[in-house]
Amino acid sequence: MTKEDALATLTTVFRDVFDDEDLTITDETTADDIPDWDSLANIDLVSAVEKKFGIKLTTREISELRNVGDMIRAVMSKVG
Amino acid sequence: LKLTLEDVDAFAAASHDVNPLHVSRTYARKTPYGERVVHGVLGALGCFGGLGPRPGQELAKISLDFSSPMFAGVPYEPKVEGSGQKVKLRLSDGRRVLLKMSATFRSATASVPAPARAFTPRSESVDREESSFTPGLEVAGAYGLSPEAAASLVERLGLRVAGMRFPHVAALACASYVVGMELPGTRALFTSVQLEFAEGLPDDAGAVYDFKAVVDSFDDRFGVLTYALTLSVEDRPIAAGTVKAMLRARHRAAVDLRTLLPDSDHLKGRVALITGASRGFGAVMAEALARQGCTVLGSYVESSADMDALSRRLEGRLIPTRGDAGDPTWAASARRLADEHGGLDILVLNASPALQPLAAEPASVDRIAAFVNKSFALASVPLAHFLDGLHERRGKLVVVSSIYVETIPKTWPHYIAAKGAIEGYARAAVAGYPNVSLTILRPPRMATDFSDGGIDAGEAPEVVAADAVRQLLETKS
Repeated sequence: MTKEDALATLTTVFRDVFDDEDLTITDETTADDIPDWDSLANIDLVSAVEKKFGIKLTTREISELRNVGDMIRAVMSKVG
Repeated sequence: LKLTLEDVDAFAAASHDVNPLHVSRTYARKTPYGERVVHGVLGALGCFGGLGPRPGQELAKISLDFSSPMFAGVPYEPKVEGSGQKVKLRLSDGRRVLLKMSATFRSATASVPAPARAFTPRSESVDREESSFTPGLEVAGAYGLSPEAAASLVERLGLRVAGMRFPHVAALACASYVVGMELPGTRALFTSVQLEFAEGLPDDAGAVYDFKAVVDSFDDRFGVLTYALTLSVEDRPIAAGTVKAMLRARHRAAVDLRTLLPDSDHLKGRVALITGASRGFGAVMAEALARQGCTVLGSYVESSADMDALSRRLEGRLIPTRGDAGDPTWAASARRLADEHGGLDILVLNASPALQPLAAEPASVDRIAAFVNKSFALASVPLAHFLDGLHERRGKLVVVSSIYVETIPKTWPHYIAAKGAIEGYARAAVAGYPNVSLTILRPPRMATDFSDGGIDAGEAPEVVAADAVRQLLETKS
């Protein structure tokens, strides 16, 4: 999987979770950029990402996610 | 839909869900929400009443997702889809969705009797440990609505004509009660419930049920607890379904300030005033200054107990002064208090209203303006009262701003506007008082009890406070 593929797939997950068809994300997107991205939404988001990519993240991996770029790296390291 | 604090009290009385996040202003002020949160189920009932009359029908199935907290006094907009047996509803605040409901109706079924029984609800929520949530854990007991309060709520919200009878209200209220009072209890955030109702329900506000909650799973990565909930009367099932609740983290572990900045008496004989000193960064900053020998006057509004505890820990170097920092009467009395201690040397403008995300959109304009006004008053009023005194004593002014003034995240336009205004005002005000040295702190997001930042927990406030105090010591006049 390329980084572009991962970003494209993540974009669909974000649009679904945040219920916003026009949402665009980049490596630098953080919770501060998306009004609804609070700790509750983060649960839905991580769960949706795990389901979409068929992976499971550990507590530590989740706690180290700072932005979308971190999420892409975490996904790519798991999917291979 | 606009609910009031009286509605919240009425629902608390009817449901016995007196979780402190809903009923205690003091408790709520110490959470990221800043004020009492409306029970999710109450929000759902309010929406339900608005669905309109359904003669000859009753609720068969309901699913509720609570995605964001609701507050009293804020108008929210319900949007309904479908009109047949199946209805979907979304409650939004501008673009932000707070509640999703899906309800399925059927022809009304016959009522069944429910013998009266004594029932004593919990009066205080339990605070269960995460480690206790093993699959199979069972919490069971009796549950009933408070009949009079429930009857008046049902009447006022127009629930009965909309197809929701007492057993439906009881089952949803029971879910709210079990989540908030029992499982997980105090630190709960109700996130979702799905319930299916049996045919033939006891239609009596005073009916008492047996409830049973059995833990299905606990995801310790997020603190999400999932369990099965059933309600029955004499072993006859009434409602059954699934509940999800999230557990808010306990207070984060404090970093020992002494490891960041050794105690000293560098500021001995100096007097500092910190606004908003009972909690979050303000409390840490008060401690950091006190540990350098400073006499610290700390303003607070609500948290007397926390303030007393902090004051005891700092062995009298913290003097609490209760009042709203934006209130000129308080500011005048704080000025007298500071003068009694020899005059103010350091003013830390820290107090800020509780922060909820708001978008720049029509639904939010009033709240944005109110937030900016309140924030600005919290800084400008004390500044106006102390500026000349600081000038005389060659004092220091510290404005607690935010890195967001530079990074401009989209979520907080009101916060950025307020911080920008306060920074500008402080710069301009100090220009006329050249002896006052101004420090504007722009700390990153901090991991205080108020931050709910999705993925980023943030910097320890002790680290930020230690840096700020070190900076003050270096520019000592």
